[in-house]
This record gives sequence, C-alpha cells and structure tokens, in this order.
Amino acid sequence: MISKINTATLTGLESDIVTVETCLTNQLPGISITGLASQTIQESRERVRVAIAASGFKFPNKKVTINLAPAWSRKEGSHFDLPMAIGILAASGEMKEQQYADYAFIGELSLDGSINPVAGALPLVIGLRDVGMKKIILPKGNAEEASIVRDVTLYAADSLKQSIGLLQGAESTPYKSCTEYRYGSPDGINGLYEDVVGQESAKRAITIGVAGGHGLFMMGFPGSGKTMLAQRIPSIMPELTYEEMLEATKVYSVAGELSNKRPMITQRPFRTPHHTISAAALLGGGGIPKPGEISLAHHGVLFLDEFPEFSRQVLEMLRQPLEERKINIARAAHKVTFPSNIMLVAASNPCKCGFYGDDRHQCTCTPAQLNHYRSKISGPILDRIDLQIEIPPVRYKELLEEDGIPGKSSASMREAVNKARKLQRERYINEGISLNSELNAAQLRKYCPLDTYCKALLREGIEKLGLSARAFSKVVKVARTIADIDEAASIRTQHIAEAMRYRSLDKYYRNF
Amino acid sequence: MNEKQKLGSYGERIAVAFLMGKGYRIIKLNYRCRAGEIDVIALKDEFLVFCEVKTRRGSSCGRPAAAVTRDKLLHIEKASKHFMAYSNWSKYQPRVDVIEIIMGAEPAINHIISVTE
Repeated sequence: MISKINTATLTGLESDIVTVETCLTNQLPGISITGLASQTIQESRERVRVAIAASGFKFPNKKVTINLAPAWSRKEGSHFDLPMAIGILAASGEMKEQQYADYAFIGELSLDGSINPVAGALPLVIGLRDVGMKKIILPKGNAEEASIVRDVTLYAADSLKQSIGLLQGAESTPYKSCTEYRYGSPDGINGLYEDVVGQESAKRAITIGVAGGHGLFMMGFPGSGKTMLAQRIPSIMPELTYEEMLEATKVYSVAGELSNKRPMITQRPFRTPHHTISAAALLGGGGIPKPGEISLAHHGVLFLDEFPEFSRQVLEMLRQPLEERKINIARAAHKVTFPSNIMLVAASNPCKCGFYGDDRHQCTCTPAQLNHYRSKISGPILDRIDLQIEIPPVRYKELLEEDGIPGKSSASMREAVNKARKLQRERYINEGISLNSELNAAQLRKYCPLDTYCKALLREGIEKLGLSARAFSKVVKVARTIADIDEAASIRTQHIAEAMRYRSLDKYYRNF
Repeated sequence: MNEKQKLGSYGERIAVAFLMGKGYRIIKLNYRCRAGEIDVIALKDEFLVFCEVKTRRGSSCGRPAAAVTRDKLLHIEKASKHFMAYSNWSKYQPRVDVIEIIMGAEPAINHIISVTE
C-alpha cells in the first residue's frame, strides 16, 4: 500500500509542492529515500524512526521506501520529517487516506516526538496555498509567522502524536493569531531627524535619496554625525505596502530569523553589517544558500559604515546586486535568487586617521596610507552611487542652538518624500518601475526631456567635473527627483545644478 | 575440528535450543552459498529470520555482537536474498537477527532482533 502526503520544498523564496510517497515491502527492514533528498533529509531517517517509537506507535518491520516526487528536483530542509513520519504511519495502516489527503504537513521532528519550528515556514505555506492546499499542519513555533497568510487554515501541532490524533478525528481548533500586527508606518525606533543638530544640507540630500531611491555616500570627519544621519533614514521612508511586508518577511523566514515573538517584519529593515563581514554573509550563500545582509535589507536600508574598511573583493561583488536589485547565488548544480531592492548608504572618513582636511586637527596619515584608503573607494563603486555628500563638522553655534532656527523634522522630510513618491508612482504606472532611480536608458529619454539651458549646464558639468556617461544619467535622474520634490512638471536648470553638486567627490577621488 | 570450531558449534546448538524454546521453527542450519553463509534460518509468525550466532568465552575481546561488522551484514543480506530466490518464501517478511552467547557457568544469551538499517 502506498501513501501520498503533501508537503513542499523551498528554492530561494519560492516553494514547490512535493508529494511524499511511502511504500512498505517484504524486504530486509531499513529506510531508503529517493528524489534528490539533501543530507538533512537523509538524516531524517534516524529522527523519524525514533520519533515514531517515542510517540507510542509501532515502527513497521518492513522495508520502507520513500520517494519525494517530483524526483528530478532537489529537496532541501528539515521540515520533511513530519510528512515522512505521517507517510510511514499511513502506509502501515494507522490512518485511512481520506483522513489525511486534504492536509499538507511541514515540521521537524525531535527525538521525543515533539515538533520543532523550521526556517522558511512562511514561503512554504504561501506556496502550498497557491497550489490549492486548504489545510496545513505546521509547528506551533511557526504558527504566528504563517498566520498572516490569507485563505488557508492552519493547525499548530506540538507533537507527532497530537497530529495523528487530529487526523483521526480529535477535536481541534484552527490557529488564529491573537495579536493585531500593525505594519507600515515608521515607528521612529532608531530616532528622528529632530535629534540631529544642523546638517541641513545632509538632510536635504537624504530626503532626495529616499524620495527617488538613490544611493548615498557620505564623507565626513569622525563625530560629524554620519551614523546618526543614516540611522534615522527609516523614519522618513514611505509606508511598507502589504506586498513589500510579505516579501521582506519571506526573506527573514528563509534566513531563520523569525520567531513567535517576532513573526513578521513591520518596519523597513535597517541593516548595518560590520566591515569585517565576509562576502557570503553580506551577499548570501553558504553551503545551503541563505540570504545575506543585502537581502535582509530588502525594501529597506543597507548602511555600510567605514566603507573603505570593507574588503575590496566584497565591495566589488556589490555591483551586480545594486544594478539588478536581486542577487543570483550559483552552485554547481543549481541557482538560487534572492531579492535585494535596497537603498545603499555608505559612509567614510576622509582618511584612515579621519582628519585629512580638518583645520582643527592634525592628519597623521602618510601619503601611502592616504593613497591606499582612497583607492578602496574605487571609481567604479563611487560612480554607481547616485548621491555623494560631504558632512562638515557642526559649528558650536548650532550645537548650542544659539541661532534659534529649528532643524528639519522627520515629519516634514517624510511629507516631501511621500509627495515625490506619489508623482513617481503616477508617472510610471505602466512602466513596471516605481522610482526615478530605476529608469533605464529609453525611459530616461522619455520621461526626462531637457531644455537647451539644462543641456548647456550639463555640458559644462561633464567637462568641468569629468562626469562619465553613467554619472551623467544619474545626474539627470537625481534632477528629476529634485523636480518632483519641487512639484515641477519638467526639469529646470536649478534642479540640474543641485544634482551636479552631489557628484563633487568624483573629481576629488580621481584627482588624488 | 579445532577448539574454535567446537565452541562455535556448541554456541549454535545453544542458540537453536533457545529459539525453539521461543516458538521458532528451524528451517535450515549453516546455509552456505557463493554469496555468504547463514548460521540459522528460522520461522516465527510472519517473519523469516536469518540469524547470526556469535559465541565467546568472556567479554575480554569486546561484546560478541560487535563482531558482526558491516561487511558481514552485507554477506548475510546477500545470502538471504539467495535463499529466498530459490524457494517460495516471498509471503514472509525477512529479518536479520543476532544471537550473542557469552560462555560461563550459565551461558548468557542475548537475542537482538532486526539489526538491518
């Protein structure tokens, strides 16, 4: 007798249905698993055998053959334990087909028969729902996380014994989350821009960056406020939409970062990896590919403080995901893609000791050290970052608030951002993009026409600042965003002039 | 017959008596074929049991069951398939057991059921 149990496997953030077929035959007892099952799943043999016995059931005295269909795709994950155990018990007659056929199962088994939470429960449940599964039995530890999925009934299971009991007709209530999760509006947990004294031009650049999705590079002396400015960016980002929240939560689910206490991502992520991070941890990868910081920052901000201290190799590998807004992780036999639609913010000192160019402190770097430090922020990387600003030291007058002018608040900055975002959404409604920074060459020509004065200004800028073609298109995109904040229908010279100010460091680094 | 063989066959006689006492019907002793050999083949309920008997004087060289290595098990499995192919045993569920006997004033018998994985 063959039993067929529904479950799914994960590839990146996508889930595909898998049927666990179990057959018992008259051969020497043992368990064999086919269907390109990973090492973790091969290890399930031991867990399943012990868990079945620990739950008070008799493990069949026959040869158990398990096939994970379809046989040609790779299966990965520890959540196959529960479906396999159910399959074995079903095949040995513990249950009739109509008792389990309408359910799907995911869960890792402990040696005592209890069910442990798994990573990736959210995308697995979404995938199962999308192919028509209406009822899913899953670990109690993943129930909160999966409860945000609509149109599916979840049963939170503590143990294998409890799951069998449920299938055999025991009373059970579907899982309903008791907590109302609010997501979207920034909660200001990282601070607000009211806290930042002075630095109005930096706030302006940050407003432009968030409004159009432009990356930002800040250079400044130690203590000038770069980190403070970066941390507060989430307080002015627009509300997370349902789709964005779901996507970000999926990434955290696959990374194993969710729990019943924190089952979903309610705020735009803000990630600050330390500069000693490895390429695999930043971009994603590892033996079993897991999302990296760049994907954990999806729909949020990735802040690279002390930018030149990051390894050169790691910085070079950022290029492709920045351009394509997704990262492909290739292995010998398969490829996995994780999303990485992020706002990149990088900060650096002018030199290793931090005081080159400061009239109040002595720079203690040798020319060789200066050279080495500068060369880390290579032309190509800097070129790809839309906005470059210098953060000057804050004068004491501002620190002591003697000039009586209140700084820009998060609320007012966010208002400007939302206005500009609305204009972009309406403009690009048929283009499949939502931000000025995403414009390709053809779209740029179409949506950013320039009059003769603008063109003249740009020509001067290209000559004087030595802008590359890529930098040129970035200037136009930034000008478009500045015009949007200004609520101007077309780009004017003042928008171009301001946009060019944000390429000041190109020449600085090239000439050094 | 040397001392070792005498001990082995003595152990086998003890194992046979033990199994019969538990209701097993003995089918064949010392089944030999190209693939390997099996000490005792016995029948109980729905099981066709292929049994390896290991006898020792004491536990000084480790437990007798430890002498049933992966290779030995492979040979037993092959021989069991051979046995089942040449007669009609297909309606029984096969199983490999190990009986370890430690000689002493009273022989200590340990019957390990189903050792295959």
